[in-house]
Amino acid sequence: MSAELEAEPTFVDKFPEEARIIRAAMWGSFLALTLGAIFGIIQTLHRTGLARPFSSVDYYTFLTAHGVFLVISFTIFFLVGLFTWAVVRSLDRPLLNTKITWTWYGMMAVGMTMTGISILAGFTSRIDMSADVLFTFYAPLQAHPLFYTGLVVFIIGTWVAGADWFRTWLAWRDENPGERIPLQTFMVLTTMIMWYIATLAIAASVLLFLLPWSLGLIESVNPTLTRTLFWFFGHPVVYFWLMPAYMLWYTVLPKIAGGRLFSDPLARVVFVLFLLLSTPVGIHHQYLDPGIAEGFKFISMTNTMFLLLPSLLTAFTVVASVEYGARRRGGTGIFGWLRALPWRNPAFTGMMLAGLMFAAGGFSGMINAGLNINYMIHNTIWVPGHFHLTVGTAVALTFMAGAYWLWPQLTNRPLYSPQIGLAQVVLWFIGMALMSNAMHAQGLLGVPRRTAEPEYAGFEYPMAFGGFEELNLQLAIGGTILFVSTVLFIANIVITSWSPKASGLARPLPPALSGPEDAPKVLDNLRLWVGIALVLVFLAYALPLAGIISNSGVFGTGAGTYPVWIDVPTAVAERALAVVTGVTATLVNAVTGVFTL
Amino acid sequence: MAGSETASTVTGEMNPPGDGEPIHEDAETEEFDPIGTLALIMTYFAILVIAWVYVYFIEFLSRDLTVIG
Repeated sequence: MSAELEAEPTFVDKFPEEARIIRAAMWGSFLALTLGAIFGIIQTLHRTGLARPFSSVDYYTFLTAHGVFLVISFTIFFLVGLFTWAVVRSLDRPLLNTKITWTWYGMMAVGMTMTGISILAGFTSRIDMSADVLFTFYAPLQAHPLFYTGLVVFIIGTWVAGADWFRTWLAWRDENPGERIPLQTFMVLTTMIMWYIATLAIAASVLLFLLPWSLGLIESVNPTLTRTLFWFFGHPVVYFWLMPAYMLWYTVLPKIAGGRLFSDPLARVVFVLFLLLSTPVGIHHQYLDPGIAEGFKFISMTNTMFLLLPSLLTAFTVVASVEYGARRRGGTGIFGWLRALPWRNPAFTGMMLAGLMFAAGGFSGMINAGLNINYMIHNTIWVPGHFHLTVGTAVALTFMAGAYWLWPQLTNRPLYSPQIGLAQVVLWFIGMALMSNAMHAQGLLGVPRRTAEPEYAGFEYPMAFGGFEELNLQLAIGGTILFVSTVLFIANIVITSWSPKASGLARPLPPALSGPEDAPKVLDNLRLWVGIALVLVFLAYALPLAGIISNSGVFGTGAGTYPVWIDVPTAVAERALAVVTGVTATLVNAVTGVFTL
Repeated sequence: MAGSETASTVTGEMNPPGDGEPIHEDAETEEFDPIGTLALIMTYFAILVIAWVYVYFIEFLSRDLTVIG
């Protein structure tokens, strides 16, 4: 008992109610991860032709479920938990009112359940509901209204979460006048400002166009407009996933390595740059969209290249912080210090492998970002190959590694098996290396993405770095390893939650080598950054949006709605009408011809 | 940093079980020069440059010119 009293209190000891909310959010995240992994392996085996127990007709349902559950539910539930931890920990004060906290958690849970039901209902014809619109929900693909309503409720939940953290920070500021914003809170606040700006577009797209359209209140939408609004949100959302991972790399990884963050000011600069630059680049997802002038695409490409800067700054700062830890552990030499790092710790190895994969993702990302070279890989499986390195590994693997580090401090239960954890993160790396490599290589052969049966009769893909079938096998093996890795992760976390409690699990974070006192005060001027971010967004989007609307109107020119079905009587009537019209025209021509003779 | 982060946490590194290598506390006062980081980043750029050259050979020289319009 005395040892327990002496031990430093863990997060759950200090803030039990907040820890409960964080655990609830993370359980939501892990549930989504489990479902996403199941749909993932089904797709992997299906599209490679190794096992097709389900009809190809259901492929879009599996793909939508895989995408939405993983990139919306798994990532965002985890990050709201992480952000709550970061704000409470770095301000060292409880949230103002946990009723509000439970409210936003409830809204997110209800919203995601609604969206999830609308997607899963697509598997059965007994319920007249489906949402096989994929994660991007492009019009004219149309989902059941429940899909869009659920998304709206979910996103409003995240807005309330942001307000909850801002209010807690404002209360802290009143109690600590003149103090710099603690780094982790600074990261949360800048990320949330970016999120507010980004989600305005998707809220407009859903509330003004897609939801009324799916309810039948308006006839048609302008697909280019709703796509553009989607990507206004769709690119910053990748930073919404990534910035929590960056937060773990900046603030937790150096500590696990035995060191300290190299530079607090550089970390702040990076987060400000992401706030400014992550939104005015969305058009780089639309390089092949007609209806947007090439000049706007070029501006978007230039902004995107600037966006590489904060990631390169991160590579420097994080690696330097880890190197500092290695030197403190006695590491020497130009590369020899790498051996001194705690590679047996799953949290460390997971985050380092995630960072390494992100560096590889940077290579394919630069191809994607180039206006001309993007044409080679557009709509091929290269693109999923790329984002399985970024969100699928840099983010997902960092979150899993972060969970190994954080979960014991949220539960007072030590991780059930660090050895299984280590095997799990290494398996993820190997599985993803195989799967993503095969996807990139197939993409260069022209194999399309989002396709249940990418093999075509009478057509063979050209040979390059291995045949189509060989790459399929590599893809399937990689996907299977990833599934096994997910099962190990979930099992480890579940068993940990049943393990006996222990003391001494607190892991306090050290301050940076170069602290906030070295950072210019202007970095904490959030109003200034909001202003500049809005100006940049206006510059990047005002003219393209005006052009899209003036070309084909706010509600489009009446494009059809998909999924559509052919109404047999109407088709027959139309065919008959066409024949009658044709015969009449011939007769009229003949008669008028006679008269003009 | 927040008031919660006191100087005692600077040296208060507690590694998880099985990861208890000694930490050279005296090294902390030394001037830290991240040359290892520079070496890794230079390696990254070298790979990047090689990859770009590779793309040029694979994607352009091995195929016929595509002229649109």
